Formats: sequence, C-alpha cells, structure tokens
Amino acid sequence: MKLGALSASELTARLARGGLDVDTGPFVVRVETEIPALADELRLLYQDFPVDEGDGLADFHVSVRRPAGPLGLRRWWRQQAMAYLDDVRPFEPLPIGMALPMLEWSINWCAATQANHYVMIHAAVLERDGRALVLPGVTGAGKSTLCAGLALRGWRLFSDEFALIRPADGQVDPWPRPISLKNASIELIRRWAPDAGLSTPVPNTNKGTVAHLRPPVGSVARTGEPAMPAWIVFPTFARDAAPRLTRLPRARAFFKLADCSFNYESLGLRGFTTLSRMIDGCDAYEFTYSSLEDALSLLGALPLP
Amino acid sequence: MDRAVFLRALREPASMGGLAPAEWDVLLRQGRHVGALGRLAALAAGAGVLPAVPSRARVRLEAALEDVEQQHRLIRWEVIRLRRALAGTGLPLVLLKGAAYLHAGLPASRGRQFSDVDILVPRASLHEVEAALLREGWKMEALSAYDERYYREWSHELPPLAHPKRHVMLDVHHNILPPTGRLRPDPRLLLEAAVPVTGDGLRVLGPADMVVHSACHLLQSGEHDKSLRDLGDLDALMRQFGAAPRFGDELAARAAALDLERPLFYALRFAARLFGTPIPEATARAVRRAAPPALVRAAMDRLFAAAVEPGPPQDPPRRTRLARAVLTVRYHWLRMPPSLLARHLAHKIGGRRGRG
Amino acid sequence: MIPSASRDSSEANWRLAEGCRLHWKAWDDEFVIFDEGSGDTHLLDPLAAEVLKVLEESPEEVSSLAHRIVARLDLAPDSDLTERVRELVERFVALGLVEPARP
Repeated sequence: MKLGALSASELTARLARGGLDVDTGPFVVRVETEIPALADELRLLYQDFPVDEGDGLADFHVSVRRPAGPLGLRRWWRQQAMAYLDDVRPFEPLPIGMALPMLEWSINWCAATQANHYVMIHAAVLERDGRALVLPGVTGAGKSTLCAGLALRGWRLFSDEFALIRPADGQVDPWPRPISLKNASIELIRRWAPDAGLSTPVPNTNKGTVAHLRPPVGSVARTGEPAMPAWIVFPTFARDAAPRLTRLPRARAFFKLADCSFNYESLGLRGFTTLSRMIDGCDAYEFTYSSLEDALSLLGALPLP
Repeated sequence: MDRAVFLRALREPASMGGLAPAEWDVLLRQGRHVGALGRLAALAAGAGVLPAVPSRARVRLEAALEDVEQQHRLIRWEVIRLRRALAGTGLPLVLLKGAAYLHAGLPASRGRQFSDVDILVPRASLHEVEAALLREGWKMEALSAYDERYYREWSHELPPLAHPKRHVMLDVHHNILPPTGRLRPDPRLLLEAAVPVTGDGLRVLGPADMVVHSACHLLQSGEHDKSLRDLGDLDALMRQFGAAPRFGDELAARAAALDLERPLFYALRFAARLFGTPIPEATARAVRRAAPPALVRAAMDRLFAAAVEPGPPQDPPRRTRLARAVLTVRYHWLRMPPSLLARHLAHKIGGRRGRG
Repeated sequence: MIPSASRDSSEANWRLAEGCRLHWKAWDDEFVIFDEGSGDTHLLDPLAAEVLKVLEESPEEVSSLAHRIVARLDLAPDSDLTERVRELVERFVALGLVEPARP
C-alpha cells in the first residue's frame, strides 16, 4: 500500500505511535514523529512510496521530536525539532520549521554511516536508455538543481545525493528520494516544471531557503530496476559560460571519484576493485554549464562508452 | 530495548537462525550500539545459520564481517610499523587485548571490532619507547596540561598516540592497572610470562594472564559501554583455554600472584550469568575465597547488570545511567587515593566538558 | 630514523615493504595501485610504476634498478635516470611502500 493511500489522521497516528516503515527501495526507513507539519510534508513528498507492512525489520530508524528540557517540559516559544537516529542524536536541535530537512539529512547520515554493503559516492544519479549517469560533486556545484532539471525532463531519477554501487556486479541501485533545493534553484525549477510537487520553502536555514521536490512517480515505481553506469560527469556551474564537455583521463577520474566517496577508504580492496571496474566501463568527463537547457541537450547526446 | 534477544544471540549463536525479522530489527541496533555487530556476524557464520537470516539483515551482517576484516588488516599493518619503530630499543613488543588476540589467531578475535593497539612495556623503558615513537612520526593527542599530568603521573599508560598518516590510536601501558589504585598487580610478572607469537619479536600475555587482564579491565574501565564486549572477550578466552586440564589451577594461581582475585571473581560471575561461561572448578574455588560479603555481592550484581544493559549510548534509561555513575565513582576510587580523586572529579565537573 | 638511499659506494638493497600487497590497474600511461596491507591508493607515472614493479619482483640496489628499467622500458641509458630512480625510491620509502632489504 502506498503512503498516499493512508488518511491524514491514520498517517499522523502511525507516525506518532511506534513509527511508520517506509520502503524507499534499497532501505526501509522507520520514521517516527509527532510533529503535525512534518506528517503533512511526508504525505506530499513520499506519497508514492510503499508502506512496509510486513515484518518489522527496518534498516534505519529516525525519530524527529521536539526535545524535552531539564524538567521534561517542551518549549512553547521558538519550538525546536531534534533528530534521533537509532536513538543517537548527532545534530543540534533546529527550529521546528526545519523538521523536514532534518529528517532528510538524518536519513542521508544513516546511509553514509551504515551501508557499507555498497560503495557509496556523493553524487547525483539518473538513468536513460538503461544506463546510469553519475554526477559526483561537492554540495554547491549545482548538482541538485541539475539533477532535478534532468529528472523532470525524461531522465529517470536514481538519487540527488547517493550513488549506491553494488560491489558484486557494479550496478547502481536507485534511491529516488525527494530532492533538496536551495534559494534561487527553487524558483528556477518551478519555472522549469510548473507542475512539479514542491514542499513549502523554509527560509532562514543555515543553507538559505530550502525546499524539497517530490520525486517523479515513474522513478519511485522503478526502485527495483538498477542500471550499469555508463557516464561519470563532474559538473561545474559557471554563470554565462559556454557549455563544455571534456573527456577526463581514466586514472584521474578514478581519484576524483574516490575523493567523492563516503566509504572508499574503509572498504579496502572491495572499494578499489569496484571503482576500477566502474572506471573501466564508463566514459568520464568534466562538464561546465550555465543553463539547464545546455545540460539537457549535451548530457542527452552523450554516446555510450 | 529488551536485551534478552541480544544476550541469547551471544550465548546461543544457533538461535539466530530462528529469529523473526522484528527481532532482527532490535538485534542489529543493539549489536551496533555496543560495537558487537561483527561478533554477532562471526557467531552466526560459525553456527552456519547465515542462510536462515532474513536477507536485509544478512546483508548488514556480511558487511559487518567485511568491515572487521578491513580493521584487522589495518591493525596488522600498524603492528608491523610499530615493530620497526621500536626495533632499536631491543625490547620485545608485548601486545595486549584485541591486537594480541588477532596476532595469536585466537577465536576471541573473530568478528571483533577494534581500532586501537595496546602494548605493554617496562616502566623503566617508557621514556625510550615514547622517544622512538615520536621520532618515527607518532604524535600525542592534544591534551590539557592537567590531563597529560594525569596520564603520566597517576595512570598506567602514556597519553594516547597516533600516527597522523593512519590515525590508529596507540596506548602504551606500563601496567594493566593504575599505580595509584588499591590493587597493585606486578607488571614484571606479566612481562616475564609473555609468550612469543609469529616469531618476529612479537609477544602476547600468557593465557592465564590474558584472562586476568580482560577480567580486571572489565570492571576497572570507566567506559561501561564497552563492558559487554569485554565480557564477550572473557567468555571466548575462557572457552578456549578453560578446556586445558591444568588451566583452572593456573588461572587461580596467577590471579593470586597478581592480586586480582576479586576482579576475576566478579568478571567470571557476570560472564557465567550472561553467557553461561564455563568456569573450571579449581578457579571457582579459589576466587570464591576472594568473594566480597553477600550484601556487597548482591548490590554489585544489580549495579553491574543494569550498567551493561545494551541501550542506546546517549540516552540510557535512568536506571542504567545511575548504575554507570555509581560504578564510575567506584572505578575512580580504585584508581586514585581519595585526596587525588576529589581533586580530579572537581576538575572534571568544573572544567571543560569531557572528550567523550 | 627513516633510512635514505645512500650516496656512497656501498649501496643498500631495497625491496617492497613487509606487509605490502599490491594490486595494479593501468589506464593509458597512468597506474593506480592499491596496497592491501596499508589500505593506501597511489597514482604513479610509468617510471615510478616500473621501479615499484621491479622491487615487487626482487630486491635491488639503485644502480641495478636503473639498469633493469632501461632494459624493460627500452630507454636510452641516462645518468639523470639513476638520480630519478634514487629519488623515487626515497619517495616510496616515505610512503611506506619500500624498505631496506635485510642482508
């Protein structure tokens, strides 16, 4: 059953009492919260994801609650949200309006620290013609905007943050969660795709104004379909620059890729073999662009390796 | 969180083949909290029950095993570097705890997660060892002047060191308990009885000494989060060595010689309760002589059982927090004379927040 | 003390460091090696790769190392080459990949 099929009251109740197991594809996430606004946002952004009814085994456990102070009381003014990951609290409390970004960052943190059965690259990933495009990069290279733009124009969304590579066969597993957008990107994507499902923007976070884009229903429906990577493209956004795609020598690409990995160093030989094989099978590029249109046409025209 | 599933898994690994997915949900989380996921995985693999584990749980266990293999590789590398760095001192390199179990190929090392190396050197050679390590690139963790003095004067170890290229913590001990404490094991006995492994100048403590060491560390350490894992070590060591015919007597004799009968009593008692660790009769008889009065025993039982409850690290239930607070005070008392203790605690509470 | 490649007539023998286990990958003229022992990954140019490959096979001193490389890579013999090889050996020693071979 899809999360969207639950009534609002049922969703709120289940989230508050023991948590709801959401099947996001590679991971089942148990989400627990008694914050009503967060329940609403989940309803919007995760409506197409199946609720895991079965067996009570979740991979990650995230609880977003209002923290209690020393006397057990919760603040009424400037209310806060706190994330509990498997009952550990890695982050400081934030204003309650940031409960959704907090949930998303928490799920990312869980994956980065608990999913060593994958080689994980910090990258956006999309698919066309059965092959995956991997866009590694530090946050701020416009990766998320680029990812959202392509996902809304025919590319299948795999992820805006994580390339999950299977050591056994080198395929990438999809994890098409909501895409986080900041500041000017929000308006840009709204214009790029007026029907896109965007959450209410939250202003004044430490990253500026943040909003989340609902993943396309077609992408969510196909979480069971991995793909072999074909292209590794390191994007750089440069305002007013002419678009440019240059081939990157493989050995250099290897190191750039390993640099963007969450867990390459801790995986030893497994990491080396997996990334080597990936580099063998892909063409690597550096890509400078200034508009989504350029990106769409150039990346859409990339030949198979 | 209910610890019954976790403890049963450690005590009867085959039972993991019959767990429901919801039980795996709890077991995986608890295993991760106490750093025993690798051990659970190794036990499940050893019992041949991995195929019966739900696939999403099995994937996590297999990944934990690989992680442990990787940790072990890095520890071996670190010990090679250590051996070369200290070659000029002419001292044998005596490994303790995890690194020792690993290099001696003991069952206690299977699935065991660890990222530190502990070594034992004669107190008289401390300065030379420290100088050699610093020369070869090891660096001391930045400490307050107070903490550094605490380590050097009152403790049984140097401040922790690490090589910046590899970030593996190295603890250099000159005894297994602090010299300011009430219990005074003679480290020369330990060094004399150390046995060679691998023929490279590497040594580990003799079997009885290993058991005594893991027992005393269990109750003396200020970090109760590791207690369950240390008890697991003790259990594995006892199961391996306890089978030898004269081991029971040897263990009793060593505990007496090292003045550590009381900690051994407690540790064996708790291990037996939690894991069903078999205790040789000779040892049981000997340490019973060192047992505390019944009331103290009962109180310690309750305190300890509560303290090792494998709950979440940051928000232990109130019962566990109190139990740990009391045991911690007891630990500090054992480490320091009351006058020093008062000064140390005042500094810890009034000064900067702990590093933990 | 980290041993340096000596410059006097009695040359030291060098070999792959104890515990090293190398895995090689070559793309075009660049080499990526993973050392299973230390967990380190290195990027090498063809000359550096050749030095390490030879030492992986057998211990050598710097001058004979240079000779073997000249033959293997079909280079013109060159006094600069010996110097470059010496520098590479020193670099590898600093990285923990190479150490003096015990007599």
